Amino acid sequence: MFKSPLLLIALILTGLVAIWGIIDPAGLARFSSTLTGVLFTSRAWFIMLSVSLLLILCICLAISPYGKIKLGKDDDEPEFSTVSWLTMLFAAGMGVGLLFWGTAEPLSHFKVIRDYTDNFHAAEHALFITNFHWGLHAWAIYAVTGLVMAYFSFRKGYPTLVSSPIKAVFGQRTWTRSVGWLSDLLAIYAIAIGIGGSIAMGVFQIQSGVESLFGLPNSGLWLAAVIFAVLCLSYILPLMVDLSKGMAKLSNTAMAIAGGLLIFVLLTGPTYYIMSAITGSIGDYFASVVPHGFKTYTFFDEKVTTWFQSWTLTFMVWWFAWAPFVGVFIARISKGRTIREYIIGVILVPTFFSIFWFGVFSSVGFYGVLELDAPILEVLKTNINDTTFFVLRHLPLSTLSIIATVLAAFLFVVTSVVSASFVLSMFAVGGDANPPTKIKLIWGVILGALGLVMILSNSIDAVKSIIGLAALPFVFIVLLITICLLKALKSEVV
Amino acid sequence: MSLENFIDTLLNLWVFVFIGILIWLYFKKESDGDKS
Repeated sequence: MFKSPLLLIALILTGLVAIWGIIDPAGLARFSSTLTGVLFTSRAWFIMLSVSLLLILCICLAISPYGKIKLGKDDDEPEFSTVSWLTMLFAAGMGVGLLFWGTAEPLSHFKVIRDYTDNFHAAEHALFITNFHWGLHAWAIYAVTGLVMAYFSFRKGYPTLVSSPIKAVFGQRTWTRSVGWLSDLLAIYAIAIGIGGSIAMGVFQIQSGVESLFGLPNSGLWLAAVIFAVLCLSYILPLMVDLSKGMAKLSNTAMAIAGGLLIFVLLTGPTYYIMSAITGSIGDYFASVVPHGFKTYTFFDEKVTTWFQSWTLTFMVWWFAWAPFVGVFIARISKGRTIREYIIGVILVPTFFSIFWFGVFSSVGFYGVLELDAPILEVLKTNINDTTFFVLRHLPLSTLSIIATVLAAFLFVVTSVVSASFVLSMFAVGGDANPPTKIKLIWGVILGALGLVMILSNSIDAVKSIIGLAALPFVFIVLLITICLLKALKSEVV
Repeated sequence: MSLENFIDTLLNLWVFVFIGILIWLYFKKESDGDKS
């Protein structure tokens, strides 16, 4: 089973991080935070430049003659209908983050920005920044990673591995084997830590929901431990049997609940206010999204640069951490589509959904703060995990909507862990599309341990810095495989 | 030069080298690459 040195080293590496985090969670959080601080300060320009160039590349590819190239053989047809393809895309990329950050993120930005301008402009800009974090740039990272994977797997017939494009374009040489091996390892590491963070975020969210439902304020770690145990049991079973169709159903159910919640909040909240905010935010977003991608806040004070690092840079690097996982998934479901169709679907549709989602959840929050003087900012400061539930408690049928949120968060985390265990195992055994159950189970346990580490850190900021540190090296890999794609496309006749 | 500046220079130097390698790889002619 451990014939593959990649699998063994990946397990040791992620296992060591997990053990360190369990023994000394505060130490790991401090170490990650210091190191990401140094790296973010030095490389902020590089991260923003890379992300912006990836978006520009997507736009260029979509409108160029290369857009006609199929991700597959020329006579391959798409496996999924466009509607189910788009639904699956979105569920894979965002998941539990939307539930967690829906209200909390825009209000967190608002708290900082209002020190520099009036409340109304601060709210507008806070919503723009949130849309920027979850919009075109985020999806361009996923789109390019998935595009490279899909192109080399389905059109060129290589295994679905991060290393495949490097070997395909530059041949089997010592350096391509070494860099390829390192790329696979870094991809595994980034996915594992990223999913660990997602588990923690899901547990924090579910914990707040359960506290809210049963009136258990500040339940502490014991409730988190119980939720974590239930989560682990729930994802271990699907790892032992092939439930691929069942998992797709669970993922669609989570998306349907999230969609229902969105419509519920839109209709029971101040609908005119929400719709006006969404309309305004679409204009604000598309008017300045591309130039904003190059913004690095160089001449601003320390408060702004710290905020920029802990939000914008962290989010961008976070998308890189998820890119190999989401990339493989969107590549698998996009076989038979043209590059143009793929890019438009992957970057535009989820961006519009995000704008709508954050428009709804942030507007309810802003309405509370600006019109009703509700103490949401206090909740944000004392218990950020409770922000969404605070809003839901002030709307009709709150018990039902809180149960729905908890259920959706639970399903999002379970489906993410099961899919990630599958992708990690596939990478670790050299791209085999049917990895052994034992290996999937081992990854399930490691992901659980990493999730536990993040839960023990008991802070969403610690989770963000640990993920940031794991994902930073992957920025380089994505750029390298992008060059491979561009070189390969040069040889296509279009 | 302070330690912070030195680390910053090193980190960015690596980025410049990396960008240089990417540009070189893009324009490099592949003679015996495994292109299928």
